[in-house]
Amino acid sequence: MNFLEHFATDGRVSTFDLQNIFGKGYNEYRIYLKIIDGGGGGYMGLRVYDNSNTLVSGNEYQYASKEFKSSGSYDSTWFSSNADQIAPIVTGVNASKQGGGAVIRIFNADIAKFTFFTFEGVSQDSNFHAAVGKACHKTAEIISGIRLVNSGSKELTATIYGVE
Amino acid sequence: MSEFGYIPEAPEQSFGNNKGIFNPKDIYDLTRAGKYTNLGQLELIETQTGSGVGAIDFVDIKETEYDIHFLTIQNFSVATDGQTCAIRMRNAGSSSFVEAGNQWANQTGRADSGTFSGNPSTSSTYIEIGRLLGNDTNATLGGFVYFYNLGDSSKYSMTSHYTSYGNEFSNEYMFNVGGGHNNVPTQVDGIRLTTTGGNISVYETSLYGIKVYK
Repeated sequence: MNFLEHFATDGRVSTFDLQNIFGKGYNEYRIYLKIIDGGGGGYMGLRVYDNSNTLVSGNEYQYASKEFKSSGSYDSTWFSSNADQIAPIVTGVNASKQGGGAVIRIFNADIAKFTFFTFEGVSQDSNFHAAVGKACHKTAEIISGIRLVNSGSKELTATIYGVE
Repeated sequence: MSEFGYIPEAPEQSFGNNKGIFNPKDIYDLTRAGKYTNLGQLELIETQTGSGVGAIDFVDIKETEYDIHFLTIQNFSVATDGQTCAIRMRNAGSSSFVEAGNQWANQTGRADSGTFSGNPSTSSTYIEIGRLLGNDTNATLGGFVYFYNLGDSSKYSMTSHYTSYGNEFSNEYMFNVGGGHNNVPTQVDGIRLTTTGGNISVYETSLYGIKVYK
């Protein structure tokens, strides 16, 4: 696992761009997210930047995810075959400075194939939440980066590794 | 000594600012001193292997050095059929591991019945990472656990895990995925891997720190 880059937001933000992070020859890239402050609430989605650094916001994403809650009532409705983003990387974050994080694994970023993702996030609302999912950017193209899209705002750090 | 009788001083070495040419011994010494720039390591904190214990404790976890810890578990087996594999954390300054109020939420899948079950708790004596374990010596559990923010007293210390194992029902395949926390935003300085009844009959487990370079 080779360290590539570290990013941090300047306070709470609604979007967090990690651009020009791929193209380094790895079959798998791994991103570790840390939630510094989730006080803006809501869940987190993900979009990709194509090889021209253009954000892909069309309906090019498929995902199948599930949200776990320690209080019960798991949510199995996180799925789509025609979405404009992947979701949820984390869910249920509406309390300030309570922490949490996520791991995102990205496959095929550097080749003109569909890009596949696995992710698992943990966070705290009034109780513990976990999100687990698999996803695909269903366009055969090289990608150069990702955008994390917060339905509320969050302060985050991201550390990116290439996996040999 | 140079032809002018000048003996240069060795340059000051620090992480991210190394100067000169290094032989293997230099690299070894500087690495141990935390002064050699070697980015991107999954840094081993401790490995434990053994058998016949009730719990495995990691108590020198370097929680303030890493934002994220990574625990690998393999060849983990319980002596008593049907037991749970669990995590407990120790709050900094405490002599005991947290046995009340733990929260967790996980999902299990069973090959024998095709059953997928959600298993939540808001008040538990542990954080579950495997349930209904079989005690067959070939049905051992393998998996991993991430820990977030163990060294940050203002945040919950959260876990995220995947495990696979043979279950108590004829050792059929079962997985468990999810996470949890110890319900108190506090610094954690110890991790316990345990079971809820009987002994751990065999185990191999390693704790790593994931270095974040800022």
